[in-house]
Amino acid sequence: MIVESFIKSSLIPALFLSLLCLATGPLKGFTRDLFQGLLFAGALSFGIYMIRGGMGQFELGGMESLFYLPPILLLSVIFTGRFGLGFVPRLAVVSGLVLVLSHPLFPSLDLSSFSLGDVHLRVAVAFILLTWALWSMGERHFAEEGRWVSWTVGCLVAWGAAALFFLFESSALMSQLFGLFATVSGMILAVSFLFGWKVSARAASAYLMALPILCLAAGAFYMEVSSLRLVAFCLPFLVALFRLPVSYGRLKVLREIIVMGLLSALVVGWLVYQAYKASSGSLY
Amino acid sequence: MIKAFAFLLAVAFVSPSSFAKPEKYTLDPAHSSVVFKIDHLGFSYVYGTFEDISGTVMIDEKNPSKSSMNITIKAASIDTNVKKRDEHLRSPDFFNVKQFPNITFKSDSVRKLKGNKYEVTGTFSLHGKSQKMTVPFERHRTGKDPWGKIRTGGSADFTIKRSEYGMNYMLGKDQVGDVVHVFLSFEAVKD
Repeated sequence: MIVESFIKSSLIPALFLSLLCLATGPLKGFTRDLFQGLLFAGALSFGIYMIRGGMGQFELGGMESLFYLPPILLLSVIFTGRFGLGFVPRLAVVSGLVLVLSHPLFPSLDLSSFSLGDVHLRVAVAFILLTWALWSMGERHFAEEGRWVSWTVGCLVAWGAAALFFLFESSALMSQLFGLFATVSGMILAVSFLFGWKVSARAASAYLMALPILCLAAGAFYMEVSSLRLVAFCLPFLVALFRLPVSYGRLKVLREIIVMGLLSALVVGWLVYQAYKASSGSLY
Repeated sequence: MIKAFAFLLAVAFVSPSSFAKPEKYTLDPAHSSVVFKIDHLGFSYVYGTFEDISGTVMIDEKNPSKSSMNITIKAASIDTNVKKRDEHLRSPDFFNVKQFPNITFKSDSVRKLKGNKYEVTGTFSLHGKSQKMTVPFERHRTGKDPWGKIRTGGSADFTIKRSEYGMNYMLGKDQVGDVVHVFLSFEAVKD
């Protein structure tokens, strides 16, 4: 059952997405952003649809909004690609999405004494800033020669670790969701390793970085998990940032994948190990 | 004659039933339970309870159809005797307790059947979805408790389908059952 579910919800969409990204790779500029944005949105929406076993529940706000994050992000990919809008519109998109995600928790907030002391508000602001910053950085670094390796490895390790973490933290839904992101990242990495980077930086940063971080925010809002532990899953991107000053000249892709993978795994492995130790194993 | 009339008037004033007004009872959480059982992979049933239950019951002894009940259960108080499983049940896979903290039942009508049996129709809300349902209800003793307060009690056994409330995780053949058997038993103290 688990294997079948993984094949349907993660492997098939990831495989089709990477092959179609390869096929549309030679396109240039906005056309490539548009086509690959569509491919990412389609593949990830399909994967999420399979994970939830049909869209029986579809409401504005809360966990259900995870369903329509991919199409909304597609709009932002198109707008930023077409009109060259960047930093500020991205902040607006991220703030709007975090508000939609956290909307059902508003009644538990004392909005009359609006202050940053409220836990949900602090978590919301933290995830808005994190998604905004990493989305913007990702968009720049995925586009730069050679750097896509460290950033894609970062995505693979971060989301793979998050999938294991959520498995030990008792949420099959979140675990499968991050399993999907990790599989897509891994497949994009594998195809790019073999044929070279042919993915739109705008699409990759929106779907491999912003979308999973928004899902981490959903985990912080709707599960009894410390938001600090969830933010820590983005540490592989900090490793990739530290990697920046070191020369990318004569880059050996495989060596880069292994070194960055090991470094990133060391950073987040501890978190997964702690979750494993605290749990009585995987889901009963 | 005047004395007799005054006596009757006095009795009429002090008799609680003379007004036929519903009387408010508040649920006693220490003596109220919600127990459920659900099929596990077709092998057996898993039993669980909700620890946090509250609510009010309005009872009209003369005219039971004017009675009503309003019960709230905190979804996060689920207890199946396995900590790990309880965490999973609270997560977005099942109850999603942060988004949907309460399970409620609010009655619309009460119909008296034979003896101490009743039929209570109302709205049951779970996991953000509401459904009309009719629950067979049995009234137990009403009277003074050892602490001098008027106490009443009742119980109900009924089933719900979790799929009707959008709780679809692990639903399918030989997985976690769709039908949940619920056993509610409560005591309530008159305000």
